[in-house]
Amino acid sequence: MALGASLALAQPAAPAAAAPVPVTDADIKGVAPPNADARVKGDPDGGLTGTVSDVAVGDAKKGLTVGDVINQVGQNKVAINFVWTLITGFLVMFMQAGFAIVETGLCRAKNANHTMMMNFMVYGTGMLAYWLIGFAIQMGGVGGVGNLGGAPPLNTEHVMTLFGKPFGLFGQHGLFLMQGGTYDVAVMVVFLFQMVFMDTALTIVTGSAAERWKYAAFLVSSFIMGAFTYPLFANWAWGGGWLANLGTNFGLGKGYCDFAGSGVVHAVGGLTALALAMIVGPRLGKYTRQGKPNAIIGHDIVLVLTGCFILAFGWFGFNPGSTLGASGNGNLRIGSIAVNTMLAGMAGGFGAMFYMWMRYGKPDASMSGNGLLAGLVAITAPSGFVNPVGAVIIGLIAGVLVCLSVEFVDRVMKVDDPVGAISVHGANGLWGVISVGLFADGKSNYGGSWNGVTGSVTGLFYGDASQLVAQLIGVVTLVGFVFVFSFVVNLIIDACIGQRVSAKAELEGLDLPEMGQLGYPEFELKARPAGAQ
Amino acid sequence: MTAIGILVTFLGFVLAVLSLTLTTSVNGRLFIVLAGLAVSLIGLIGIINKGLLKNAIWRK
Repeated sequence: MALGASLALAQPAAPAAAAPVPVTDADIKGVAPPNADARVKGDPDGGLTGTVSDVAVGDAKKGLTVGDVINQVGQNKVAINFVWTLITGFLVMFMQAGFAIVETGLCRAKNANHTMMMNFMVYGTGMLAYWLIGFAIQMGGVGGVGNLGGAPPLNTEHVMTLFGKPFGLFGQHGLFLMQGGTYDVAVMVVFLFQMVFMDTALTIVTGSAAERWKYAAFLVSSFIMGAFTYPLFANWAWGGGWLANLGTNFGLGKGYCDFAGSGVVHAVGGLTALALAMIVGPRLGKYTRQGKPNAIIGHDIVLVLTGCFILAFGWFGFNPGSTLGASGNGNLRIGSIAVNTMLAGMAGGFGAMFYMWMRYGKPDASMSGNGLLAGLVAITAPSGFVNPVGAVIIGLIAGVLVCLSVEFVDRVMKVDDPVGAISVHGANGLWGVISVGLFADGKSNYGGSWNGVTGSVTGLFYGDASQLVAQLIGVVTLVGFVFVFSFVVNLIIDACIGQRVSAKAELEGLDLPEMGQLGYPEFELKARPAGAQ
Repeated sequence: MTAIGILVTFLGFVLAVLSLTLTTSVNGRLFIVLAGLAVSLIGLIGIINKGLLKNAIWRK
């Protein structure tokens, strides 16, 4: 205390605040560019590169003005945010590779080509559907994206009045990225980032229906999901729809908050995966006549864990990129969001490993990988709103929850999910949505408001129970609407073209009957009785 | 059975949306939304899935 007092006395008195001095065009003109002779000799330390001579001049006759400098500052901010959003979008796109090898490794070698091809072509199928119609439904009425310079053409939402309040249902601008003035640089950035998110949701489904899904049915189902199922819920949550406005219209916290998509991406994917797995039914040999489950183990755990690492890497695009910018509006939270992401993934991996070790005597490798993914899925919604301790708790719960959910789906529901997609993405997507309503600490500040409500997102443990209600309405919408929509759509596809391959094709492996080529043609594949380790 | 399950699952969603107008209290809305979630889960797990299991491929 005494030392502190003496240090305080040693400080010089703070100078009185000086009155701000206006900067004029004359001051700007006094700023000299670097000497041309010195510049010609090269700039090894970078001190001469990026100076006043690089600021764009609006009118050559007037020379550089204050207006030019301000415009350059604005463009620099938007440029930083464009580059940030695009690069993080590229990282998310690379997650497709992670999903592909995780799912293929968890399936049998005789289905390797088929599983890889589903993961490969879901990228193109989803993108086509999203470009044609999905993007317009999701983002056509978002009403401006400040970090990216506005994107003003995305301004038309179809609204229905219910209980005297506007309920945004779907966007109407952006078909083919041309209609409604959407041939626009900012709209292109929004499209790329949202497209790779949509594709992540679609590729979740290929895991739960793997090893018995007819390829043609997969194409149709994925197209419809990319065009309608995903964009509808994404509009309600992110595109200016009714869930996002639960705060402004009904006083429920800051409305439904899903920072990077535990609900929008993972729960939509996981619940559609559940609908598909229920419709196609379990693989032959998965259950005995008495309903006892057999373990059908995958063919390459090296692929599985490598894929998990690729996904964890891509998640640094998924969550921090969801600020849609690195400059302005509280976007320096990207550091906190990235750390929350890695902490929750770690905690999820530990949670699952220790659970399996205690329950079954060994630290199961594939479930440890699923635990890592479960932690990442769960932190996706709250990553922008919670502190590091909250992130670890959320991840740890996710790691245990994924194990419990896999057992429940496998043994109680008797739904065959070869890769655990329903539990990793469905159960933990829902947990992530709920965790925002519990752990959001009210310290985030993205430009002073969220979803049009002033203040920071605050959960039950920090004093706002109404935020939890908004999150739970999102959860019920996912279970009661998105699942039903997906289930009905896929029942119709089943009735029209059939979802499941023939028993003969399934026993032979889908590589030859469905794809016409073996995944591993130089290896002799031997059948092993289901359940054998 | 499947059609009834679909309706019950969807009914849970309708209940959650109705919570927005049935009351303005946070606790009241929380109760109704949780009831909606329970109804949806009953529809999904207790009716749709149970119905599908009756004709499961492993029973044949």
